Parts: sequence; C-alpha cells; structure tokens
Amino acid sequence: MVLTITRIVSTLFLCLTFYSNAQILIKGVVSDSKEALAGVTVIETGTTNGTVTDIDGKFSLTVKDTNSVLSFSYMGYKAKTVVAKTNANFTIVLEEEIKQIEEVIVTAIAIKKEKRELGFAVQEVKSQEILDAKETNLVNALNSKVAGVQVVSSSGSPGAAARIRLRGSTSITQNNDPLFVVDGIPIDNSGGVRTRDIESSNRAIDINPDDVASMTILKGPAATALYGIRAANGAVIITTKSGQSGKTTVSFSSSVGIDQVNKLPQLQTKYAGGQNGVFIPFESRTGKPASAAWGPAYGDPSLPTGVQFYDNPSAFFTTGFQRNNHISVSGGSEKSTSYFSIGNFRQTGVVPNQDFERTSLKLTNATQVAKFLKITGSINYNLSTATRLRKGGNWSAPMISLYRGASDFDITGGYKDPLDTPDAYLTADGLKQKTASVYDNPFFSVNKNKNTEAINRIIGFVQADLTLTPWLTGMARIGADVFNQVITENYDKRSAENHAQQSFKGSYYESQQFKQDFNSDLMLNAQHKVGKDFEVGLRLGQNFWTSKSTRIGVQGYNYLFDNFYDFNALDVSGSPLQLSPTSRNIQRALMAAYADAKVSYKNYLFVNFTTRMEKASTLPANKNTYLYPTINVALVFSDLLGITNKKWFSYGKIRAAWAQVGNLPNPYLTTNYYSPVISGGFNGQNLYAISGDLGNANIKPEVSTTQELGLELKFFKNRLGFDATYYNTLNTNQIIAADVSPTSGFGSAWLNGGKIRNTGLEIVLNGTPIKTTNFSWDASVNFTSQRTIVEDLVGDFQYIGGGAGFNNGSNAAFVGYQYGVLTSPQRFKRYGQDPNDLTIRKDLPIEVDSSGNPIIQSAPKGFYIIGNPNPKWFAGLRNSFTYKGLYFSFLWDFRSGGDLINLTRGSMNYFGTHKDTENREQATVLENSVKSDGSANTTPVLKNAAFYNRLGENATVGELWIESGSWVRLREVTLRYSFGENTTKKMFMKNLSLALTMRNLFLLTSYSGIDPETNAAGNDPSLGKDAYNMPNTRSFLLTLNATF
Amino acid sequence: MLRFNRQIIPFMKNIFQILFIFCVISISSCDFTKTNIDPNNITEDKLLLNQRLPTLEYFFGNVLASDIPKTVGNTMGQTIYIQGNTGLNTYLYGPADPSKISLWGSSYSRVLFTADQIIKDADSKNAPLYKGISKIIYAVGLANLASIWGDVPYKQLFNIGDFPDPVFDSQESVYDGIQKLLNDAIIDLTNTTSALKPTADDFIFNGDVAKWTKTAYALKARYHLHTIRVRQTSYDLAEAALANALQSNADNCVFKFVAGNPSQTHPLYNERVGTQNTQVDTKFTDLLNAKNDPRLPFYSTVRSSLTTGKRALYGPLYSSKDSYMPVITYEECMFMKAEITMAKSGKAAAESDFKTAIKASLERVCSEKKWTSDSGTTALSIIPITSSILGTFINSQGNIDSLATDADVWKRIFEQKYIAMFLQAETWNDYRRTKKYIPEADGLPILTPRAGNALPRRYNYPSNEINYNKSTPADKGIFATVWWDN
Repeated sequence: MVLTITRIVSTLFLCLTFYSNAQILIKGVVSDSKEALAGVTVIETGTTNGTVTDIDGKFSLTVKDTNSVLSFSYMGYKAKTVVAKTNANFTIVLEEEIKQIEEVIVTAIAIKKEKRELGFAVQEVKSQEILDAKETNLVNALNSKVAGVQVVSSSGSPGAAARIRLRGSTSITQNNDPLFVVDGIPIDNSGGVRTRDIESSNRAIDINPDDVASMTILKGPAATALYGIRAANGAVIITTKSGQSGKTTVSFSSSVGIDQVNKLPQLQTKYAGGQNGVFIPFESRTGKPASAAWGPAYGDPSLPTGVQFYDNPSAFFTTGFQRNNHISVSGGSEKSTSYFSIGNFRQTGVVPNQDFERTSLKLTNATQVAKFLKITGSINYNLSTATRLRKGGNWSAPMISLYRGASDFDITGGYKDPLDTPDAYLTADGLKQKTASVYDNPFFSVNKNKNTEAINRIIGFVQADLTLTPWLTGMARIGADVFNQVITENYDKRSAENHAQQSFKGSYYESQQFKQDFNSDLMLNAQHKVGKDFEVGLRLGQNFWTSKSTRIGVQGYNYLFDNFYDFNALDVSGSPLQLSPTSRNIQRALMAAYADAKVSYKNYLFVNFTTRMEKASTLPANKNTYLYPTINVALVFSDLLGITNKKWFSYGKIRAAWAQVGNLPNPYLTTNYYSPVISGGFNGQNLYAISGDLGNANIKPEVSTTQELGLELKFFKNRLGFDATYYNTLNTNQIIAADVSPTSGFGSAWLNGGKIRNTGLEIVLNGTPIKTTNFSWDASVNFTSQRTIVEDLVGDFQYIGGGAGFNNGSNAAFVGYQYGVLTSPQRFKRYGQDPNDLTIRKDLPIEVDSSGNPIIQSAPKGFYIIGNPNPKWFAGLRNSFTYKGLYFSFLWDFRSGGDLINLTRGSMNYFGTHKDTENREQATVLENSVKSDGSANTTPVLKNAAFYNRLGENATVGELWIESGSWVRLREVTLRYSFGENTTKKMFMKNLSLALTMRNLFLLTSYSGIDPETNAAGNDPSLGKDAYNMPNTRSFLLTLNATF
Repeated sequence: MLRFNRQIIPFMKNIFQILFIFCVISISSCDFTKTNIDPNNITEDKLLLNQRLPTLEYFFGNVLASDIPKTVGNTMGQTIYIQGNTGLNTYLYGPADPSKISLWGSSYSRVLFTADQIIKDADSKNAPLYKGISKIIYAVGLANLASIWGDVPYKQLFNIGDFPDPVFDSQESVYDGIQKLLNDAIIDLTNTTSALKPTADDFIFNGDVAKWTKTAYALKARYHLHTIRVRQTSYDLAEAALANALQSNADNCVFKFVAGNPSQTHPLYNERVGTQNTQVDTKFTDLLNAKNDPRLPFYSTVRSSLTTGKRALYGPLYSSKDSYMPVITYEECMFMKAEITMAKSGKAAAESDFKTAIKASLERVCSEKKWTSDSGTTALSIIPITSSILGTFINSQGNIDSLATDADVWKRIFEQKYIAMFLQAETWNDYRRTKKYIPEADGLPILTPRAGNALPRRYNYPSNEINYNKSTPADKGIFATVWWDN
C-alpha cells in the first residue's frame, strides 16, 4: 500500500520534470508457473506510462528507450522488473509470493494472539464446521474434530447431555470438565448428571450454535494458565458473533430435519412370558420374576389365543422432528458495531412426547466512545425447555418395558394411534394400565409420567478497553451468568413406579434453582520493542469469581386426582400428609492475581512465563492461597534456519511447555456437618446424624503438572500441515472421598491421596491435495492416543462416579491400572489362573462343576478388573470437496477399543428376553471349559433361567457382558449448494445456499446393543456402562441460508 | 528514542511493582471464611442429646429389622432370596456380598459410632441415663459383630487420625468388653439425679429406667450363655443375671416403626411390597405347618404360585408398616432359664420354664393383628387365638418331661427357640451352641444345609474392611469356628 502510494507520488513528481522522445514498442506475455495471468500491471518505471495484461496475459507498451525499465506487479506475486533492451517480445514469468497470513487465535480471557507465538497446543473450530454438525448440544458439535477431545453424548434424546474431556480424566472425585468461556466470561456447564434418575442437559446446551463465531480448544494446563484452577482440565473458549463495520448484513437460516433410531438391542421372538416353561397371565405379572420371558414357545397349545411375538419397539419408537430458525442483523460504522440475533430451535424425540426447545436472543454492541476508550456490551438471553422420561432401570422407563418385559403383549392395544388413544393403554374404567408386565406400558408412561425442565438464562458482560499509551492498554470487564431452572417430575398413581417406591399413589416433585455467577477481570497490558530484535510484553491481571446456587424442592406423594398435580391436592386419608421440602445452598468464590511476561526475539523465538496466585473459598481458611507458575517456549526454527517458504518446505516450529495448576475440593468439606436423617423425623422426634464423609480441615488442592512438546510443520506452500503434540501430566494430591473402613465411624473420608499420570499423543494433519480455480479438495485428520494410569492411591482402590442405579460394572481407580477400569464382584474360575490375578484371562479355560455349570469366584477384595472403557486411540477424518458452488464434505469417526459393559444384554439374558436366549432348549457344552482336574468338559448345560440365575440379575459376573466399543462411523455428511451471483443478485441477496446434512449416517461396530456412544450416568466421571440407556439417532436435515 | 527508554522503563517498573502489590493485597483482603460454611446443615456444637438418642435407636432398629433378617435369617433357613443375589442362598459368600458389607458398615459407622458419640457427649453434659442406654445399645451392636465374625475391632475405633488401621481384638476380649459395658450401663441407670432424662426421645422404653435395667441383665445372661463351651462359669453367671431380667411380655425390649414414608416404615414392609428380593423360606413354613403352629399366619402369608409352587411372603407380625423388631424378649429369658435348668437339674425341672417360654412367645406373636388380604396396609381386628388352641399346642410341644432321651429334649428346646426367635440374630448363636448338647447332630437337626455338607459357622470379613484396614487378618473362611464355637 505504502509502496504504491510512494510510486504514484514519485512518478507524478518526476513526470513534471522528465520527458523523452526515443520510444520503442515492447510486447510480451506474462504468466505464472501454470498459466497466463490477466490483469497484471505493467509500468515503465519512473513514469506514469503503463498498461495491463489482457485475458491471455499479453501486453504491449511503448516505452522511452532501450534503457527503460519495465516492472510487472500482480497481487499475490513477487514484482519483477526487466530492462527494455531490444526485445520486442518478452516472456515474463511471475513467482507467487507466499505471504504468511498469520493465524490469529483467541486464547484466554478473549486475548487474541498470533498462533505463531503460542508454546502450547491449541486447536480451533470455526462457525461453519459447528453449524454443519447440526447438533442440538454445542458440545456434541466438537465430536471427532479436535485431537485430544473425547465427546460422549449420553443418548439421542432431545436435549441429552454430552460429556466432554480434553485429554481424558485425571481426577477421581473432582471436576474433570473443561471450563467453558463465552466471550471471556466463564459460564456454568453444570447439569447433565443423572439425578433422581432423570437426566438434565448440561448447561452449554443453552448456547445457540448459530451465534458462535468460533471455538478454541485449549488443552492442558499450559494453555489455561490465565484461567487458573477452574480450567485445570482445559478450556473451551467460545467467541460469539459480533458486529462488523460496513454495510448492514441480515442473515437468515432455517432448517428442518428428521431423527430416527439408529441401533437397538435384539429381542428373542420364540418364547412367551412366564417362568419355568409355564405361561403367566398378564394380570399375574406383578413382580420382576413374573414379568420374565421364560414361558412356553409361541405356538404351544397351553398359550391363550393372541399370545404371540409383538415387535413393540417398532410400534413405539417414532420419527423425531427438528426445526431451527435464526435471524441475525449485523452492522456498524468505524466507531460502533452491533449484532443482534434471534433464534428458535425445537426437537422432538424418537421416543414420543419427548422434546427440547430453545429460544435465544442476543445483542452485542461495541462502541469507540473516545479515542482511548472502547466500550463493549453484550446480553444473551436464553429459554430452554424440555420434556423427559425416567431412564435406565426405573419401571416407568420405556427401555425396561420394551426389553426386560416379555414381548407377548401388544402395547398398542390394537389401535392405530396408541399414543393419543387412552383406551390403548388404560382399562375401560381408567383404573389400571394395560401392560405386558409389571413395568409401565410405554405409551402410558410417555403420556402420564411427565418430567419437565425449564431454564431462563442470561449471560452478559460489559467491558471497557483502554488505550492509555500506544504501548500500554488496560481492560476492565464484569460478566454475569444467571439462570433460573424449574424442574418438575411426576409419576402417575397408576404407574409401576408406585410399586417400586412402595405403594404411594403417585408422586410429584418440583424444584427451583437460582444460580448466579459473577466474574470480574482487571487487566493491564504493556508491549514494548527493545532494540531491533526484541519485543517484551507484560500483562498483569486480577480476577474475582463468585458463584451462588440456591435450590428449593418439594416432594409430595399420594395425589387425589388423576391429572392434577399440585401440593394442594394430596390425599391424606389413610396416611399422613406426604410432603417434604429440601433446600440446598452452595456458594463458592475465587480470587486471583496473575502476571504474564513475554519476550520475543526476531519474531521467531517466543518465551512466555506466567504466574498466578489463587485464593479459593473451598480450601481451609488458614491455607487457601496457592501459587501456580507456567512457562512455554515457541521457536519457529524454519525462520532461524532460513528455510521458511522454500519450495516444498514452508514452515517449522517447535513448542515446549511446562505448567502447574490446581484443582479444588468441593465446598463445605473442611468440617463435619449434621443433617436430618429422615424427612419428617421419626415418631415425632428430630433425628440428626453426621454426614457420611469425614471432613478434612487440612485439605489441599490437587496439583497437576504438565510437560508438553509440540512440532508444527507445513509443506508445499502451506498445502500440507502437520501438528503433533506429546504431553505428560502428573496429577497429585488427588482429592478423594476415599472409602474408609467403617471402624472410623464413616463410610468415606475426604483425603488428599493419589497420583494419576496421563500421557498422550495428538496429531493433526491437514492438507489441500487438489486446488484449481474451480475445484478443491481439503482433507484433515486428527488422531488421539491417551493413557491414564493410576500410580498411587489411598487404599489402592476407589470407586469412581455414579453407579447409575446398577451396582455392577462400576468404574474404579486401581493402582497400576488405567483410570476408570470396569469392575465386577464375581467372575468365572479359570483353570490355571493365579487367584491374585484380578483380571479376566480369556486365554485360560473356564472350570466347570460336575453339572457342567461354570464355577463362580467371589473377589477377595470385592472386585475383579473386567474391562477398560478408555479407547486405545480415536481419530476423525474429514474430506471436503468444493466445485464452483457445490460443497461436499464427510467426516469419518474412528475409535479403537473402549470397552462397554452391556448390562442391558446381561439383564435381558437373565429375564429371557434377549435373542441370545433362543437357544434355551439346546444343551451345549460351555465354550472354552474344562473340568476342575483340567480334563475336557463334556457335560452339556442348558442356558436357561437357572443358568443365568447363577450369574446374577444385574450381571454380577460381569465379564460375559464386556464388549468392545470400537467403531467406524460416518458422523457427518454435508452437501451444500451456494447459488451463484446471477441468482442472488436477482433476489437482492448476498448469499443463498441450500444444504443437505446427514448425521450419524453409518455405524460399523461389533457392539450388540444400542449405539456404543452412550453413557448411563450422563456427564459423570463414570464411563462405559450401558444399562437400558436410551438409543442414539441418525438425522437428515435440510438447511436454507440467506444473507441480505 | 533512547532517552525515552531511560525514563519510561524505570517508570514502568515502578508502576508494575505497585500494581502487583495491589493485586496481592486485594487478594488477601478478601475473606472467604464465611463463604465455606454450609448454610443448610448444622455443626456438632448445636446438637442435643434428645436428637442423638432417637437417631441411635433408629439406626439400631434398622440393623435388627433389615440387615439381620437378610443375612443371619438367610443362613439359618428362615429367609431366602428369590431374586437378586440368589447365590447367597447356597452360601456363595464373598467379601463383596453387599448384605454383609451393609451389616458390618451399619453396625460400626451408624450404631456403634453414634452410641460412642452420645456416651462422650453425655459424659461432658452429666447425663448418665443417656450414657447407660447408649452403652446397652452399643453392647448389642458389638455383640452382633463379634458373634458373627469372631475377632473384630473394638479398642481402636473412631479415631482414624491415631488409629488408621484398627487392630482386630480377640472375640474373647470383646465379650469381656460387652459384659463390662452392660455392667457400667446398669450402674449409670441408677443415677437419676441429672436433669437430662430421656422421655419421648427414647422410642424403646420412653425413658423407663427399670425396663432398661432389666434389659441389661437379660442381655448379660444371653452373652454369658454364648460362652458355655469355653467357660465353666457361664451358667451361673447367666442364672444370676436372669434373676433381674424381664419378668413378662410387658418388659419386652422392641423397636417399633411407624406407618409413614418408606424411611419410617418397617424395612420388611418395604421389602415385601417393593424390592421383593427376599421372602420367608418355605422349608420354615412347612415346619410350622407340620406342627399346626398358631404363629404361622403371623410369621408368613403362604400363597401358591402358578409357576413356582408355594410362595411364603413376610407376614403381619414383621412386615406391617408399623411392625416392631425385638431386641430381647421375655420368652428368650424363659428359654434361657429352661436351658440352664435343664443343664443343671434335668428335664422335669425344666418343663415348666419351657412351657412358660412357649406361652410367652405365642401370646406375644398371636396378639398381633391378622390380615385377610396380602396388602398389609389396613389393620384388622385382632382375632384372638383361643386358649384351648394355645393349650393344645403348648402341651404338645412343651412336654419335654415325657421325651425319651436328653438329646431329644435339647432338640425340642432349641427347635422351639429357633421358631420363637424368628428373624433374630440369636438363631445362629443357638445353632452353633447346641453342639455342646447334641454333638453328633452338629446343631439343630431340623436345619439342613441348602448346599454342601455343613452350614456356615461365621462370615468372612467384608471388602470394605479388607481393602481399607491393613490390620484385617487373613480370612479363615466361613466354616472356621469362632472362639466360643470350639
């Protein structure tokens, strides 16, 4: 720019004084390495005389004389000069100029840094990629796209929670979630944990993906030194869209789609309900054993007419619909920019009467009020509502009724639309359900047992950016994340839940939670050049964060009326008023001050040192302040060696980082508290007992120390990029609610005691194999391999996470093994196995007793290691093709390893409903078995109820039900057509596109149950349990995007 | 440019120094002590004795009403698993067995720990009556643990700081400790001077000191009789204690539940209508049926099932919403008296005590309300058992004097005691003790193992002890005998 102006000025100046006569005509053609270049500027240097090459790259220019110098310039190419001499015809070849367009990444606290200077691993996901994923939950949009990041959605239900881990889990009881930050404000991502057996969404779902400009994933403590303890597990930095100066832009997008169940367990189709080969009439199926399917074969004369196999799942699961509409207006001037948007999303489930709806409003404004002061303000309002069912093993859960109860009863009652026909699922007098078993008829359940959730949320901030001097800037920001959540849960008086919960006539629970998080940041930033080669920067900051949650809930039992649930309508005849309130207030606060010093040398060597002092309210008051340092170094060695932008090698950088950060204990565990033992007391007396966990007045934070090494390489003029990171994190002083011996008076005690080491390799490869004017092919691969080993632990063994209602297949931390291994209390005795070896040795034969049945061993310490839910590696592969206005992209997701315990299958075998049990009348010798003396086993056994009885109703012998969760999945396919200018101009639009998206189109896995991407307990430390989890879905969507 | 630097850099340094100090000061000025105080729960200093005692009794009642019937009751053939952990029916016990883990854990961390807290608190507040009652409950809880497991931790409890791995004291020393606790309790209960007296907060006796004292003596007798095979003095000590024990059914020590929410109702009511994992063993009901025992419909409701033949649900006595659970009863005292008399003086002398025992049991059990349906939610009027039916039964079962051999007498006595002590922990203690009287039969002849050749003689230590207490001894197995079972 400057060069051109200088040129123009000097030529004008010279023009006034210079004039020549001996002119010659120069002709030629200009091209680059491949083709002729049109529009190249050809100038006789020192004059205003010039021309431009035509469509074939040809030019002709009359110049002064043979000494004239011609210069050729074209955007993106190096300028070239030649002396006129006598050549009439020139062939000029211009060289491409590879300008390193520096990538700018948004890092902590909305600080933008050039990716070049970063000494740690960072990855970004842009808006279009997020939108193309078409996921309801923003967290799921990250699935398979970022190395190191594992996202497990708990099911395909609308608004289902998603569990995200950056670099795996390292904490046993404490937070393993990354910190979610929106425009510099840390926000709440709670929820999503299975409480009261109903899953709520995790709160990141309130963020509308249509408003997200980009997401930066900062993995590892090195990258989050500036967020401190709350970001010990990494941070997901979300930047929302804001106004751009210039013409006002109106964007509109609308999409519709359908969801279908993608995979279900398999039912046996041969045997009716009953026990021991005897049919049990439907009215007598009043308990779990009576609802089993160990009855006679269909077609047996003892069966009443009409008793046959009914494919109830097909009758029940339906097609879900989703629609999304979004309008945004953005514009502004040099001084002030604004962004406004409104969006509405609605999704219904593959289980009828389940839905999720989200309405969002956003307004952002940034104004330069004075030369040195810019004020930015943003408000984001969100309303999310959902209707849900109880999950898992509850008797009102549809999966239990469809898969654990016998299938010899038509749950539709013969009606075409059983969902909306009460006669289909209720008796004529309305007093009872029509059901196959003791469990609720699914159509009854979705109509009568309603659980709702409504959240009103506001996320907002006000920020002032000061430019005190050219080298000194300051920032002050206050943000708030405030939400109100209303939950209602009920089951009808005719529901089987009453039986399971001991004969109450219906239940209704309502709770309100009010949560307010406030965050304030003060920052001073100075940058200064020292000498020719050095640049130093110093940032000082202070942060204050406080969070307060107030929850009140009321539980009532015994309702008078069928469809009227209110605390005024409780039945007090026959038993006392069953109404009990609960309240829970939780408060925490953090105060921190930090300093961040940066030195850069010749713009290729960067050293960054930070230190942060953090004071936390949940630590003991006499020792609640800790100091956490980090250091990272980045060296663009290609600049140092002068090999940047060579023919095939373009860029090389190495990174090294070391960081220490802490993780905090839960509030209120520095002392012991007493709480009421029973709601309502007992017999007119107040009962108080100490809480089950022994408090610890000397609890310390966990300390996480990470070393990270990285290598970035680019080849072929940035057409091929390679980024590899190796990290090693040691997490010590694990805060554990350690199980202790009851002789202490407690079941567990809060202790610091454990060491967990997490190592991993993350590789990202991206490239553009083909690029021509009209067609390009981009490909990217991200690959992750992680391993987390428990090196030391109090008591050597601790259970992890929520059991999700089923006690077996629990995850555990056991010294010497990977974090979260699956356990069970019994296993088959195997011939030749050392009893001290706690693993399952599939290579050894099973010992059988004289009847041919496997011998079962009980674990001397209470657990055997039966599986590992952590994948060996996982990877995402994306290929995108662009041809003129067409865009076609598909994303493959690969996972190797990652066991699941298929408790659904184990339970279905126990109750005789699984396809496995079709062989129940054929006696076969147990596979891979020997007698106790080692000789071959020749005694066949029947795999009938008695056989499975010995294995335990809930898979006490869990090893049978461990299956590999490896998969190959076609996660996303997008086909988009962008209409050309001819069409858009006619409609007064800037852009118009139509896209077809398919989500989860294809799944290849050996897992026999539902989609192996599932988690019984939602967003919980536990992993790998499938216990009647709701199925996942595949979707087909059509999206229209228009910009005016 | 250079002069600029020379002025600016020191200035910058000063500014930043000031600012950093400001940051540090601003952190330290923030006081978080109040933030980390739980606003919903109280700390120990606020707690009163009349809130702690009901809690102790509630925990105690639950152990007796839930854990014991499902563990000891199952081992002794009175209850059986029909679903869930059915392996336990055939003694496939392992350290991970949740029912044993629960019994061990609840006994220590709920019953004994709460009792220990009350004893310490009552000491500091000078409330000897609270101390006495808690010591009695502590003794029973400890006795359950010791009689079932053998060597158990006693001296190093509830102090994880000083004793992270409590040693396992010998069963003998624990039994001595139990007798001392009861003796101390009896002394405490004589001290009625304190203003702090339990009343309605004592669910069991409403603060009646005399009844608690009788209970303490009865328990002394019971635990003395456990040691008859290893100590000569047991009979005399037991006899002396029995002189001051319960005198009638009005003195019975029981814990009563209330008809309310599932936390307030009797655990076996919850079991019968809800979980339904266990029920009464039909072998037991067959035994009572064969004898025309009038207690049968109170113990169990027998129904025929389409597929499994008979089902024996828990009956109105122990699975109504407001059922009670016995701690120790008058009939047990009379059974003990009969045993001592038989051992010392022979069957003729023992017969009247024995008949009194049977009569007391029938009167206690058969005075409960009978149901006409299985729902067990509505109490119906008492249908009195006629005295003639009682008389016939008592005479047919109680006439030990006319039996041929002493062995037959012992079998009869312990058979009736086994039936009377339905769902109580004493059944297993009695079973193991009868080896003294009927060595060749190895216990009660009516009780045969469901699997294998012998019934278990103890439980193995649970996993929550093995994993977290390094002092846990290597387990000798469920057929190893405890000290007094030798």
